[in-house]
Amino acid sequence: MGTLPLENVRVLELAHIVAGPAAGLILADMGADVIKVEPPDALDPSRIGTARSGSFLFFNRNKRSIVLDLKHPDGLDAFYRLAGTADVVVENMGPGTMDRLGIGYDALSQRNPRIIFCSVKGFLSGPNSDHPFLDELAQIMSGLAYMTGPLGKPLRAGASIVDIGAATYAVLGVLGALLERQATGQGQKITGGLFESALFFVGQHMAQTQFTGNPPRPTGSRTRGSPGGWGVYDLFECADGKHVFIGVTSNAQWGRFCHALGLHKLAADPKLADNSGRSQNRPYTIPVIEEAVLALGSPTVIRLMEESGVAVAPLNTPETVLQEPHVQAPGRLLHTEAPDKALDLPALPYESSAYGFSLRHQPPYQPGRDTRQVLAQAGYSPAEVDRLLQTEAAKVL
Amino acid sequence: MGPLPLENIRILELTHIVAGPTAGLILGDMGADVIKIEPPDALEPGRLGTGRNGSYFYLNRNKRHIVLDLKKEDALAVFYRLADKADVFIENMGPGVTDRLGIGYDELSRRNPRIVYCSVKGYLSGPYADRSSMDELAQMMSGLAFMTGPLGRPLRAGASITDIGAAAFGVIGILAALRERDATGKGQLITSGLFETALFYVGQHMAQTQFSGQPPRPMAERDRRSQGGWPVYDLFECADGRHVFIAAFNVSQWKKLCHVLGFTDLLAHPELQNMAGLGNARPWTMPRLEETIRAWDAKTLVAQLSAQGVPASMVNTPESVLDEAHLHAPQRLLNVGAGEKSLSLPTLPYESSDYHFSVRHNPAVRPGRDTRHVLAEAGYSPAEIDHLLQTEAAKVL
Repeated sequence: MGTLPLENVRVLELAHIVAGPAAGLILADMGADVIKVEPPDALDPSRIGTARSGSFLFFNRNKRSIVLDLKHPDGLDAFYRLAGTADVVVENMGPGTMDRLGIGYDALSQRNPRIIFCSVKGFLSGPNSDHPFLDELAQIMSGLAYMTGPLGKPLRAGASIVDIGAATYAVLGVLGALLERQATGQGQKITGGLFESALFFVGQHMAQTQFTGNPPRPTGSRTRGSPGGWGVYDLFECADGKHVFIGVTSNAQWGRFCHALGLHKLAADPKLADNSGRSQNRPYTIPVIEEAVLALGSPTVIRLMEESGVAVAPLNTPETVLQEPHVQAPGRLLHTEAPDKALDLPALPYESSAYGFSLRHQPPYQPGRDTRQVLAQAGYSPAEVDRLLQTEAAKVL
Repeated sequence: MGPLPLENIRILELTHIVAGPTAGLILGDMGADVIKIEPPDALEPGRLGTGRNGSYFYLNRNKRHIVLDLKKEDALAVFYRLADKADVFIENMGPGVTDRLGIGYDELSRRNPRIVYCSVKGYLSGPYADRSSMDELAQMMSGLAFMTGPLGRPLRAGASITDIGAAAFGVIGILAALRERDATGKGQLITSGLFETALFYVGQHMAQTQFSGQPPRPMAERDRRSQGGWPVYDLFECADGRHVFIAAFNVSQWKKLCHVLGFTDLLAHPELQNMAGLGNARPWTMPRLEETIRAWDAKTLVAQLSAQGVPASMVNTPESVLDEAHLHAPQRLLNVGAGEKSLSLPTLPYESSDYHFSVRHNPAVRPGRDTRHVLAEAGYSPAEIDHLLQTEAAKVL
């Protein structure tokens, strides 16, 4: 396997919790030298020792860590020196914080016109652009929570999909900017928005409701056996009490699906020959399928569906999914060290014929683990590094 | 505003439904010339006339459209001619389909070593690599549905977050590959996986459960107080029957909330001066909040709280979200033509200091809308184009 695509890219990350660190994680996994900068009085709150420790370990692998007091003139100077040779700055501080610290886009691009400044914020430009915001609020405001929960009971999706989504789009902007910079030599400012990312997820429903004129109906309000959508696209209980999800999305699959379960009568029924017929007749077909699946153990159901080329999966939790043979295959998990334990965590969800992902740096649970090394690389002499540490402009905690 | 970052990039897209078309949408919005190819016997099921017609208009703007019957030799020759000059090929056909058609990665990269070939698939490499998957299945298998619904009632998130997420990661791989190609002259194969994308969303929970040794609990079951210890993190009903989600994460936000609601007596209350006190007081503060908020108009309340810096949002649907003033600011929505209708749909959820997004092509209601134009650009003479149309190797439907 060849070199990672961003090996020559240096990123400064001034970010906390999920959205900003997730952007840094994607760039870091792709090979960038990501230096996580933390002020000593505002360490990433997701660090070990808080309720969110698992989160810190997932989002901060492959990063180096430096603690700089940006309110100290020497600490600020060190940041400027690092930013002078950096390609990208990633931040998700509160509105106005970077400017107040003297490290906003204008200040940094004036010093280094090639810099790409990436903010992950609650909102993009518009009336709400300075409002504080969060993943769950974005799900509520965009219509996503409405679509997820049963009618009248809006629910958030059970993961930080908006934070992670916004990070993804911010990274898309950064990669676009790196491409442009090759031609122009100029950097730019990229902003990713939480609200807008949730809205982008919901765009299909917005299109559907405007196109049809029908109000949107929550996906969580679909009941078993009610018509609509795919003919079979449901969770079924098996004899061993486990649940499997089965989706039948073509006519050929339907025939194989029925025969695999011994439901030859359904296979031969002309009313069920196409999806619209199967969809209309769910009140009749689903109970029959339920009964057939309930007679079989989940491993049998999964094997039968696999043999029939029908999409099937067991219902997992974030714990049981680790037992899937596919997850245990090379490349799917990265072995991440926490104090006293090792965790198996997902790699980036894409792969390339030219490179593979790996764990190059463990998450820096010691804040400032790499402070000395980063400063030395930035051209500080050992004596200068000592002085920065003595005056607490830089720290190793 | 400057040119879009991918203006000199040409993409061929052979995709259907959500995941593949979304990858093309992102690249198209970023300025690439995306040519969507549909086989006449396998037109996009998301097209007009099916239950998913709104979705088609969301995911297929900024693309040109050509119909080619890839099982005909002449059409395959047209495809090769287009692919020889293309920068990127995107597909999300079933396992093995592109190889069977003679347009797999090996064939296309042999002809055009610069091509970046992107497959959005159910699974990345590993034992399940040849299984088909779909968004909801990926949510079930990854543990995300378990985390979303109440205990014992797994729910999918109410949007195609896995399809859309996998598309974004595929595009991240493509952009990095384009940048590498500028240095090496060589393209590569990028694959992104639905299952792995859902797993990446769940990575935080995987980390948490392995780190703490505690089994994961669905987010819908969280006791909000024990989770974050936040003073307010709740849904409230307003006078107009609409629901508002309010979050106060610290004492300062709590006091701002009190000001807005006129709770001046609570400001100096000795039990409400720190986070622990605010948590303990919830049994009596919550009913008071609920009662007071029930007299407020939802929009007015959200406006006032937001102005004070208290995170708050209406519970919207994909329809009511269009009433948000933020969406009426420039650049938040694109007007997309859908036959006789015009739909207001989200732009990409990031912004750049250098360029804006816009609709350059409406979704092709008529399959093959741009067939003649694309063929002419590829160097076919008018007589040759007529011949291709007569033999139905190419079509305008």
